[in-house]
Amino acid sequence: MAEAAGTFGVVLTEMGHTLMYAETQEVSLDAPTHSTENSHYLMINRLEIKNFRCYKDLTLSLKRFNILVGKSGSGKTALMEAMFMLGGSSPEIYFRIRQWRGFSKTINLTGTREQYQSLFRDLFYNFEQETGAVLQSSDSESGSRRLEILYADSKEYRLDLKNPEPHAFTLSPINFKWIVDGRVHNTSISFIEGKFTISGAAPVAPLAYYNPFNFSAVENANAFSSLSRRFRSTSLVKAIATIFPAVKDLTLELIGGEPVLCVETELDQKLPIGALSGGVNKFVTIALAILSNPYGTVIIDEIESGFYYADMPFVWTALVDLCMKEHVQLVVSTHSAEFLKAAAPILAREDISKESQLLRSELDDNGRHTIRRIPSRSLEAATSMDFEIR
Amino acid sequence: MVLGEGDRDQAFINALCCDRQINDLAVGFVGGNSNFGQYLEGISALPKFSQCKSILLVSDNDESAQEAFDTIREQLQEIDFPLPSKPLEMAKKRDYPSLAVMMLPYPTPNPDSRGALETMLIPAMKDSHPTQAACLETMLACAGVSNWSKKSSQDKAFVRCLISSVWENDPMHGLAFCFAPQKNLIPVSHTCFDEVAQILKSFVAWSDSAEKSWSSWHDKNEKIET
Repeated sequence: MAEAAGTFGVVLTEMGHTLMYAETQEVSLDAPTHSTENSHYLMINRLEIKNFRCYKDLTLSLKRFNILVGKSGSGKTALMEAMFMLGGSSPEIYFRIRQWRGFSKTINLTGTREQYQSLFRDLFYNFEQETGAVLQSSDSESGSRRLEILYADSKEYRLDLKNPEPHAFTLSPINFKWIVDGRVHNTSISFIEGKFTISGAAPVAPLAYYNPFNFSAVENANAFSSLSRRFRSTSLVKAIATIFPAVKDLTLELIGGEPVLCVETELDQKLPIGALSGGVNKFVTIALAILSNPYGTVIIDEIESGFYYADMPFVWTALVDLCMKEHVQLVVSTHSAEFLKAAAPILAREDISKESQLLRSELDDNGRHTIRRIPSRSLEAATSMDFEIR
Repeated sequence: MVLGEGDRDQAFINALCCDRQINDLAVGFVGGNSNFGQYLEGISALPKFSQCKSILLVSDNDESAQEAFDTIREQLQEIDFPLPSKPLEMAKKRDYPSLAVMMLPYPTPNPDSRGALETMLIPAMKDSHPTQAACLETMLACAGVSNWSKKSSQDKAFVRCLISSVWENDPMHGLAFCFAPQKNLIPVSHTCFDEVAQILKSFVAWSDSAEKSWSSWHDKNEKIET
């Protein structure tokens, strides 16, 4: 399979080797140029979600800097997953999300329709899988992207006569239909002869999604190498030094046969970055995502984890400055009042206050999951007075 | 919601509401007359803010009723909130709670509109402790307080001295703690508070109505209960 450009291509290969019962049979080789790594993708302005996870019907305007808060189970991760899936290229993206949600890497099925459909049921609002789910976005360059997830209305049915278990069932493939700027890319997951088969691919969007479970040293090494080859790693080192002055330089070294990102400090040997500090490692990961996705979107779930509370203002300043320089849109979730308090005055800066907002997942008057938008000035006022706004 | 300048305003309004059995208002304070804007901006981010249908801001005239009101208007304009053109006028704006401003002392003693919360408290305190009040007036005149240029400062001095002269347990007792009925320091049941109580009692109904000014709503709907 040809690798799709951007972060997804790298992870897909890793997942394909180690985790999946899937085979990809077809790919789209003519991805539109504006969805490649170096394209002019710009910012997601508007997101629409129908019948996906806890959201029956949600329309949301996004800005360049978006901080997402809300109670556990209120829909924060579902929102970020919607954006991630929308930017994906293949249904395998769903299995990645599943794994991050705590499901096993391996899937064992007996082949009944119920078991097959149970894999996907929680994708749909109120488990209404007959209705299907729709995710849609438009961006600041008038581009659009749409993902429809629905079981195929199949006229042919496969019966596995070799299966000793008695059954009378039909299995319809589940389709993931991406429509990117009017061009349709059909992909599907079907279960044929005891194997998952993923077919089709759509152009991937320059979008990276990180949560506490998917930070990868290998991915960091690859991303740094890509930047370094293009002489773009200097800004990363400078950004790190503003927060962690002990770091003088970053290089890739071979340790145990593996390329590992290492830091130069006052010590007489370079250290693998993960050995120096979890906070540095995390900051580097996020910064690499920003630098690797210019004119794209970076989504971070629980951004505060791993950072020392007193470093948060500097972390946030460095990330905002990087995003402004690389024209990257940032969507982060947090549970931390300290992080909010650190971020608020920075987001209320005159040069970016109109490009920033707080998003809070909550229930509306009808008990439905929704997202409330709060301007950055209100966020700053609220945090300065220690109001509880999470 | 009623928002005053300080904890003393909050304590007074709470005590008045309790005395007159006004139960549909949440009362808070913003920490100074220059903080109304920031406070409103901050609470607008709270999860339950959409349940707030109307807000009454309560502030002191101090030395100039117009300047004090304009200070609040500027803050409301800065944060793009509903903007009344004068005190006790209900301003409405889509997606925001209705908003009105009450300046103290209310009702304004003519011709001098200067003063603060303390100005309003003095008649009730004098009636409650006439002996001490009479002595204090002499004392403050002797001390030159009655020659101070600032009316609100004069009145604050009087209130402070009266509390100190009456409350033997703690002469430095803060004003915010003086409204409890059992202390009999500042009886909020006094008739001098009737008009303020009327506004608080009718505030929600007034804000729901189409009447812009309090006076026109009041003329159409209620008589002051004494």
